[in-house]
Amino acid sequence: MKRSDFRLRSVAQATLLGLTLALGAGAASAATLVINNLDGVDEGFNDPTPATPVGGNTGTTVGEQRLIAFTYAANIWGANLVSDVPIIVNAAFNPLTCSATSAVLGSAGATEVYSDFPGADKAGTWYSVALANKIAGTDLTEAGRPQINSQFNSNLGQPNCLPGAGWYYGLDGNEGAGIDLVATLLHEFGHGLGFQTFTGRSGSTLTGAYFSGQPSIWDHYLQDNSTGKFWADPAMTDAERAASAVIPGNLAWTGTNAVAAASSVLQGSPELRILGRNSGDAKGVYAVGTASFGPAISKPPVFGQLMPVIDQADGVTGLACDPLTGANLTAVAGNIALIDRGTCGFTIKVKNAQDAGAIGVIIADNVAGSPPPGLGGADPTITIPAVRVTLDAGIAFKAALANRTETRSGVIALLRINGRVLAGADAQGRPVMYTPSVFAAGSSISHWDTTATPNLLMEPSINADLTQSVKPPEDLTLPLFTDIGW
Amino acid sequence: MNQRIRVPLPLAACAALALALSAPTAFAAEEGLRVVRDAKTGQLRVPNAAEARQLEGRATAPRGVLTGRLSPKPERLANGALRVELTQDQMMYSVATRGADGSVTRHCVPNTTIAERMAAGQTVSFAQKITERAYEEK
Repeated sequence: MKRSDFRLRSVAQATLLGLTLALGAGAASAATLVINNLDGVDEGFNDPTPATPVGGNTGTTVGEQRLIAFTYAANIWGANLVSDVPIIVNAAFNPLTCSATSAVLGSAGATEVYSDFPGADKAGTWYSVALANKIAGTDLTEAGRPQINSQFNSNLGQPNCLPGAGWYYGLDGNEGAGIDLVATLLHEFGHGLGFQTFTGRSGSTLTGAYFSGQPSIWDHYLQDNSTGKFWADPAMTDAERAASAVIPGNLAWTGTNAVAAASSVLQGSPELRILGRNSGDAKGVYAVGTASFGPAISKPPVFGQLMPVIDQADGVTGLACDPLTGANLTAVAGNIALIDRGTCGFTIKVKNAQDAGAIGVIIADNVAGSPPPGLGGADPTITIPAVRVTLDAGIAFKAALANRTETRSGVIALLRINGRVLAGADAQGRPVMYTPSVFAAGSSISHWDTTATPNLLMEPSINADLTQSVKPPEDLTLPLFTDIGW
Repeated sequence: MNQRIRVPLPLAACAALALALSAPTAFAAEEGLRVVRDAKTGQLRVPNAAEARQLEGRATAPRGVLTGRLSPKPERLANGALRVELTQDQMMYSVATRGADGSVTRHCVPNTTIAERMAAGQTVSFAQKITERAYEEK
């Protein structure tokens, strides 16, 4: 195993920061993350290609900028965690799988898990090695054995590797069309430090089984709201754990630190209320998926007549992939448009409705599933709110809209924030894990739910609006880490 | 092209099988060609179905990220602790995809195969489900 000069610089920077923090706090030292450069001559961290300093990254070669970004992300974690044992991060840039439209950015994770080590709070329970070392107060591994393994794509942005979207090495989050390496590292390092359960899957198969016969430390804090059982409860069967992983909003994190912080981090939950004299069976409150474009649902609420777009031959479907004309133009002007998902991008549909004078858009899903996912895409010219509802909700809305006139339906759609329900938490205010009705393996359970607002670092999607904070009031990751022993 | 090389393998010895697979550069062979040495005749031949399944299983079994061992097992340490080396399949993967409108979304998936198929633009039912649940743009 080779360690380069870069590694020495990383150690020096990280250690200096750790000492500074320790002196300030007068207590245990901050954690030190050591970047262990595995790249060969002229590759990865050693790439001598000249680079212009960007976004606070002062490196003058691609390799230097990569190392500075790694060190920056490592230092953010190091400044927020406490451990007397250095955390060695194996790191390399390698050619990873790519296509013209997608790419593996990288991977990371703990190298080992430990149980029943000196000082372990829970017996018969797996801890990620970096956390186990911290709790034990000593390096449980052989000297120099890394605790986190990582590799990232050296070809990103090249032809046939997501061209036009290369790494952004700046430290300021202003990634533009690039991909923020620091944000990606913060997220993946988070998994490597312990934001992960090892229970529940084998490859891409949901099993609900413990890893090597033992629960993970996570499992002591995961409660299935449908049965009341904790994942670490021996009475909970594999099948029950598996079932609990595919019920949206069902799996709550019960650790006292994360629960206490939830109310200061998470905002109220966006919702759609349907009312009005013609609302009939559709009357009620609906969960919505929010949009990555346009204004967020906020105060004051947006409300108006709900009017459908109908532009397909079947007489009930409206895709709004083309500019609205005729009756559709009349129907949505000044109202909230109901549009079906399909054929074209969400931003195209919403923009067409906006151009027709709509004050909001509700997209009805065209496949079953709950909760309704968000609406992806980007268009800075969109100024009206948009949300997605489930297929079933869309069907109910259309039934209620049957007795409408050209401009009025008697069905009112109200898009608002419900301050009594935290976005990303259960009814008790406990943050919930990502457990969509379609199982998504480790993307389930080992991430916060996508309904969390504002977006959190450890959601399955690494959102562009993330800050670099890992703690309240911006984020819940650090309180969760405190719960598990960090 | 950087070909991954399949190597001649002595059928009788599992240890030798693993060793050979972990050191593919020791032999030259066409990509995908697998041969075994017959325990009785000593001659190289094409593996039968059962042998092929055995080889495939070993080739695709997860390997420890530190030692490269196949399917690492728990080991008891002198201090009483139990540990298991994790595999590449237990790492978390970031994947970026460009949507119909040109914007790029990033998401974290847990499985090597899924991540690589997504990144290669291949149709993967599992990956499609992930995409449909939270990240699609149309």
